[in-house]
Amino acid sequence: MNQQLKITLWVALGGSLGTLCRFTLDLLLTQPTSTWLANVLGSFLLATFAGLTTTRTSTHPSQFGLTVGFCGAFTTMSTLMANTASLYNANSPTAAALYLAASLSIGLLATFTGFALGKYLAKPRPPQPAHTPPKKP
Amino acid sequence: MILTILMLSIGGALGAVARYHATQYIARRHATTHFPLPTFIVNLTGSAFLGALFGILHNAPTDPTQSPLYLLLGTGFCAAFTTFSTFALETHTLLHNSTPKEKSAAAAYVICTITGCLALFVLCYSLASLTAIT
Repeated sequence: MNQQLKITLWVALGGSLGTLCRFTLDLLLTQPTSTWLANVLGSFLLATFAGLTTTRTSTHPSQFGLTVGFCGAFTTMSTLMANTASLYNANSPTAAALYLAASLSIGLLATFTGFALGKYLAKPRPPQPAHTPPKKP
Repeated sequence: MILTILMLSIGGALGAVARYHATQYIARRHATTHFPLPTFIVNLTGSAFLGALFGILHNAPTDPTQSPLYLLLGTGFCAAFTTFSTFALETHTLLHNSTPKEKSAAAAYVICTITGCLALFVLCYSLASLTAIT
């Protein structure tokens, strides 16, 4: 199978799973909280993966399923805007501004933390010397 | 229940695949070094489309967010087509490589994405709700 087709199929699979997970959060927490949490969690996951694979050169098509597919579809910019607009309409401009600010700041914070975590986990460690019991004199 | 899952899966898969191919296409045509143009354009387009969808469904008699059409096109397609995680990671990458030029590109990217997407959402919502057949 050609590489582009493989990637496309993985992205489709990841995209539908990401959408279903986001909708599950909608049912559990209701919008706009669910969209905020999905964006934060998805950003953290994508950044962790990016940190883990930062030194790798080879990519498997399934990686696109996780990054472009799952993380990309789990998080959303358009619903964030819809929620901001409806908060502005229904509640108050302050709530809308706070929602937007909380999405941006915590989302970026999750990205920085995730990337650092991924990089830390990927760091090759020197082999630990085998534990030797202290010699008795 | 089955219909909901089916609509979300189809919409989500199509949205993600459309995003992948759109970003690849834009990246091939416009090799920009500092500004992540592909994701920017995709997020603008998706927000505009969702705004128009909200506007069309504005006068629906029942809760429009529960209709199968909205699950397919809104929660499925538009939401999966646009992405927050890639936007955040690209901002991180620009800040991480921090030459002054890239730092200002990161600031411009965040500001342009947020204001652009919000403005297009509101604009398309207003236009579509004006023209929507009631």
